[in-house]
Amino acid sequence: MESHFIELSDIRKVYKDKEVLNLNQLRVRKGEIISVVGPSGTGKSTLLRLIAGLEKADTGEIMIDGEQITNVPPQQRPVVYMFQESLLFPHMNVLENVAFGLKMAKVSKKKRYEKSKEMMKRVGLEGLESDFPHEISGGQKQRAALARSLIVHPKVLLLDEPFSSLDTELRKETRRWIKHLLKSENITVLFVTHDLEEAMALGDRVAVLNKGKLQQLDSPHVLYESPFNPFVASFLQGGIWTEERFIPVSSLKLGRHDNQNGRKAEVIETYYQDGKFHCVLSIEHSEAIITLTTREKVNVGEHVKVFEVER
Amino acid sequence: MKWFRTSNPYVLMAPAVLITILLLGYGIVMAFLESIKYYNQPTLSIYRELLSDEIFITSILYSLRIAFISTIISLLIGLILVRSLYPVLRSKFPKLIAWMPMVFPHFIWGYMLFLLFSQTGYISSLLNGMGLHDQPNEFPNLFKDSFGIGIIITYVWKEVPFVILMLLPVYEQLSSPQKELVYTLGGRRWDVFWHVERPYVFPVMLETFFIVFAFVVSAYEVPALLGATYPKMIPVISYDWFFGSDWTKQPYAFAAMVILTLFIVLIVFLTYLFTRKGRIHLAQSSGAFHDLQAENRKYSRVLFFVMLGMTLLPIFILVLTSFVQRWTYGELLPSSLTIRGWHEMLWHGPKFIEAVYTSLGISLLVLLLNLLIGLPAAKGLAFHIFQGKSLVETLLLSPILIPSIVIALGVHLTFIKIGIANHWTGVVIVHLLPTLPYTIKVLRAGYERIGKRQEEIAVSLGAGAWGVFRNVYLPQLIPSIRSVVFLVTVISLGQYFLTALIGGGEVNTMAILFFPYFQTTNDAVIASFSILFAMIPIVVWLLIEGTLRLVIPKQPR
Repeated sequence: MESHFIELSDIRKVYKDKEVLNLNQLRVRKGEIISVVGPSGTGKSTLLRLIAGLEKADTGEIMIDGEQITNVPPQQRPVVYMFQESLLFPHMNVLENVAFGLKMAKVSKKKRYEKSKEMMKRVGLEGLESDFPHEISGGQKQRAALARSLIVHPKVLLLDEPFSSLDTELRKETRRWIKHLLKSENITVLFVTHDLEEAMALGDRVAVLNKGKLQQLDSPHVLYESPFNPFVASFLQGGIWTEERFIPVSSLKLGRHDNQNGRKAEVIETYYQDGKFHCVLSIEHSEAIITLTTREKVNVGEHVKVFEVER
Repeated sequence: MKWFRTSNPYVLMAPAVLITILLLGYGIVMAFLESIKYYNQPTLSIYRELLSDEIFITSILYSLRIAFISTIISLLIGLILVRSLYPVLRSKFPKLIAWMPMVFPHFIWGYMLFLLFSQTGYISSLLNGMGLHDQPNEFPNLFKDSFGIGIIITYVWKEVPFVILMLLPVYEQLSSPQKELVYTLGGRRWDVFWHVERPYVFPVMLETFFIVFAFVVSAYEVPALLGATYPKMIPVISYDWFFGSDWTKQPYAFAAMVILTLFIVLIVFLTYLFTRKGRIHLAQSSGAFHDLQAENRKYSRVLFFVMLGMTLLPIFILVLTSFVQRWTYGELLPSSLTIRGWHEMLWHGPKFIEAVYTSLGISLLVLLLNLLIGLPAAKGLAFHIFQGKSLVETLLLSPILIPSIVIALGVHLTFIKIGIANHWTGVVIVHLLPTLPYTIKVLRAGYERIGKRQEEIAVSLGAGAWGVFRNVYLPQLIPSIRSVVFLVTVISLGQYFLTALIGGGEVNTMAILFFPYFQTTNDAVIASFSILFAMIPIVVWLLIEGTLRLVIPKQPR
């Protein structure tokens, strides 16, 4: 039997008569990075806050590394939570910020500063020890926040949109670097994001949530090629869900001639990238929106055909 | 604390709410019962008598007029100053200047203005020296006059810094992109004021109006010191009735204060009702600072120097007076200086020294209680949403609207029965009334500025409740605590009526000593003593700062 590092079962959370989370089961393996995606207000952050212990579930159990932690206070959970903003303590310098968790664990000053300096080196913040948070850049802040989280060697790291305050380029760079670091530490991570590309790039598996329920938890490839239900398909814009089956984007092609046998679609946006024209299409008589590429220019508002190709 | 969320808002707020309900509710009920002579035969005859008494009606109208005029003028001047100066006021020195009058209790500030503007005061003397008039009595009589000009000047001068304190955070958070938006959409300066400033500023102005008005109309100290023999403000009349030789007049004191309380509640309620439409509930601002640019930049330098002069002149005159040996009327500066005033006060007046220790002890205790009760309550209000929150907010603010004199009168007998009247414990408890609402207000803003996410991070990293408070909140709350220290100690030091009433002559604070000595002793002694009033808050702050240094982990800077 496969061993699960994190195991949530029958978790239910209600806020003011509104069910925000209802999970039958969520299992994560050790060292795995799970991206959590879904429309806003589907309980992604609530999920992390429950695992962190910042909120209490109404029912259900949470196990981490074989230990029941449902009733363990947040201070004693082997879990660290990181917010979208770096939230460094503004009145402490970077070194003190990084050392905070060790201080709370009553590690002696000499030892904690030693370890913190080491950790700062690992995340590339050498030399910024005595700077204050307002003196360093956004990317550096995120690195410092990560160092602060990793120094207590948590079994699980919870990241709540950690890159959303960074600009696009820095975001990509930071996520590559973070994935590398997390993998080398073999740390188990749950990572909430609203950016699909980021979710796919960072996550070994991706959990799709909707209305408080887990829709599917699979690797990006499986998600795109065989979504469980129409919601997952339309949320990822991964293809067309017909009555009988699902056709992924990878099996679809765009055609412009009426004689072809396919589904009608309208072009709603086009852009040129990577040597191809990308067309965002709204499929007629369905809510599906997909993006296909062509060699020739297509105009917004144009009606085209989408047909399946043999692979 | 087993669970993070068990920091139940009701538990956090319980001490503040309980003490407010107990003192306020009990005090008002008892004051009313006393006023209808409940212990003999309940009757409303005193009310009937008072409300048909011309002298009393004159007093009521006089009190309301003085309060209205002082409040409106303070608000206008404060608004103009903040609008023109808020970028300047961000730096340390101008801020210090603006705050400085707040270190002096009201009656001390009144005394300082008396030194300046009385018929034999500095200005009169200066005009005489310049040959503009011959006799002191040619200078207009501003003090002890029947219009109460001296009282109004004192209040305006003292309340303007308070108005600035209230309005400054609002202006610092006004968004300049919003202003620019109005300009690009074709709006003029008036439109900017109306659509960008007013929605944020007006609610705060209104709150400030309530606070200042309720304070001025019901305070005893300044009109007692500077007012005329007729007409008198209601608190002064009540004092005379209560402490007068004819004890059958005591119920009149209760009734007068109850009537005044009703007036305040009525006026606050009506104003609240009529301005309801204009108020918009504004979300907590992000608190981001923008490039601050005042509207009237041309005048800001001039205005700042005016403010500087207005603040420093009274202080300068007070300090100078404390060293005066002889100052002939008509001369610009005293002819000879001496430290005799200081010497006499410090070494030949054991009463002075005793009073200083008593005042220091009482204000320290009041301050500690304020922090103990206020910190959890402020956190509860800042971070929790719960049933009945607005009720709790109103309740906790109400002691600044309901005259503390009426409450003190009400609890007086009970304090005697349970043995805490005529003792410092009783005095400390009643001093909570005029101070706790400010403490909660200031600390709440402090907590809101920090936000609660830092706490969640800290908890997630293993910090317990005390660890969070010590490492995360306390170091960042220091500016708020500093404001609380000054507000609370100055208010506590300035309480003459409450202390005289509950202390019953046994608790001799500096205020108790100041009143009879005012104008009967050498000016140099009284001026030296007045300066001590301003020193106490500074000493208390040094003590608190020292203690905090021990508690808060060292900050390598």
